[in-house]
Amino acid sequence: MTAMSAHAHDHSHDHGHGHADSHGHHVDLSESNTSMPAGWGKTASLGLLALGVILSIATLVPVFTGMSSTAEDVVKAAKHAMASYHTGFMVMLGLTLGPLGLVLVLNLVKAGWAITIRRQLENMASLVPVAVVLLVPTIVATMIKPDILFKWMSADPAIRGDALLQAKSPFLNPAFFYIRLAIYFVVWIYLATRLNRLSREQDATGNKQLTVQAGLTSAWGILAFALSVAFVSFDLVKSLDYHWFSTMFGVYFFAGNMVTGIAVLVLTLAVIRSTGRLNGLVTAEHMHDVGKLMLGFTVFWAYVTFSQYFLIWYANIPEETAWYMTRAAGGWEIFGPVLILGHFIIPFLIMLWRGSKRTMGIISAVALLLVVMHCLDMFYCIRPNIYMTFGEGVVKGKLGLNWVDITGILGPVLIFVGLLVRKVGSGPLIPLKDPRLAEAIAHKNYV
Amino acid sequence: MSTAPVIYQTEAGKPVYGILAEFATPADVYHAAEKVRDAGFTKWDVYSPFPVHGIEEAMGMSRTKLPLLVGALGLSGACIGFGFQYWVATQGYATVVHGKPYGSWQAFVPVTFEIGVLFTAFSALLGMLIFNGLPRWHHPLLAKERFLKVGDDKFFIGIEAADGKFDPKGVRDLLLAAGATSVELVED
Repeated sequence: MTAMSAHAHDHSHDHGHGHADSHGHHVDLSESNTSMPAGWGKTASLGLLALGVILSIATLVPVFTGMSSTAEDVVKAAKHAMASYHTGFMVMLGLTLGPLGLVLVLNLVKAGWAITIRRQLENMASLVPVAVVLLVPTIVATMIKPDILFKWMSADPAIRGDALLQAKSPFLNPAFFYIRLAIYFVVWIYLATRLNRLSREQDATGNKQLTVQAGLTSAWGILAFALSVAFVSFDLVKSLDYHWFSTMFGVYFFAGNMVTGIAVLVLTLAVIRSTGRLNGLVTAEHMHDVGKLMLGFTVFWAYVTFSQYFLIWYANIPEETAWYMTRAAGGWEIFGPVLILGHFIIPFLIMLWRGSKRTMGIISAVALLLVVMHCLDMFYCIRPNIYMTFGEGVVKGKLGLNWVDITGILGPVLIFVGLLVRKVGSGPLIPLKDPRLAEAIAHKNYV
Repeated sequence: MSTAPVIYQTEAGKPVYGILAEFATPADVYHAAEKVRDAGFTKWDVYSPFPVHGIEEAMGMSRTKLPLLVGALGLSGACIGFGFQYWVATQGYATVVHGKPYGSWQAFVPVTFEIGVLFTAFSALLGMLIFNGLPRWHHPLLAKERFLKVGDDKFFIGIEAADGKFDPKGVRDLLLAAGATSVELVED
């Protein structure tokens, strides 16, 4: 027996004291390990941000170049562009909401193992105010032409007189819609900024009371979060097809955001680790648990998505099945199988293996796949509402793919990534003085 | 080596099960386990009133094969569940339900999932018992009065005579050197 392994044993029973990892080496908490190099990512951040803005604006090009043709074509082009941009916006919003939900949970359950990964989730959640800015184009477009995205806002008497819409009008009316949106964003911005501020204040002061305060905020915060995320999915996605209803939709949206949030966390950690930072702070043990969460939420997403489909398929009520009928024809029929395979079966079979979760290359590849799949999933929820054909009493979809579908999705997502890069480079990569830091460093999966 | 395995007996002619050593603290038994591991023993075990973190590394244990068994049987269960429903709905007792086509896969998913989970749960439990050599009615160590403290505050290492490296004196010396507070012979 070597002296080293005796040392390891002593430290593995020393939770809460020395900053020793599972091998007994003392972990470097100096700036060279817990911050990105000075000036890191500045160019990349600016480049991504600029590209994101350019692509977002470029999405509108067909609207203006189409001016020469009929007014009807311009409206069509505008609807298409807005739907694609809205897809990108919802992905971007989800990338702040998923991580916000995780930060709330981690604070609430006093998760010791996750301390060294929590800061990156806080960074992602802190970008939720940007979503307000990115929502402005949609609101402005809606002000100019109310039914550009949300057909239920249309002044068309045929739509206004719709019995289903009238039954829903106490909820689905523009005034209440904007009030609700304002409430959601106030709640999210408050939670994200407060939890970020508490965490960063602790970096400076080491005050343990701040952890208690974060826990208390998370206790009511998680309830407010759950309701607001469910309702924003009703307002911004489900209401696009105002005839349709699905009680599962809020959970479906939440599950997708969690999967993507964790996937982007994995990619962020992979980038940070590739610069040699967080040595001994984010190890295969932490990636293993992040991978378990990603696997778990992937299964959860599949479970919820199938449950929604299954109930509608079984009951066979026209108002409900129309949503799936639209997505089962005209080019959309490929999305279902692609999502089942790419959003569930492939990641599930890969992430089931212990080694996949502990190998940065494999877990990152799966994370990237899941991000792409989430974009397709949002696209599948939002875009079919633009083109539909009516025939034989059945609503049918039409894909009508265009390059704005790519720019519209990439625009807001790249703006998010650009700002995240800047955020990652701007401060400590972990909560430096969290009282549970030692627990996170000593974290180990015994199976 | 082609020599037959040595069969150890007590002076009274009873077969020997192995040697049992008592340790006072988890740290003692942990370090002793490392020494037994490094000496190359394979048929031995550590007994403790509670889980000692990292003991599997100190014992040099390889990871269990249980997940492979559970995964294979779970997936088989799901396939059997799906296949059986499909056969019933299309061949065995084809019935129109809700006007939907025969063999609509959607209807089979919940039961497929549940049978997969059922097979997973049973294979995990039964596989664990089989891999652990359970159930068994009796264990030779339980004949030792001293060993009862394993449910209270003492830690033990038992090395079996069936181990190829077993030799009564060598094992006794090894365990004493490793910090055992007592070492005794156990009859089978």
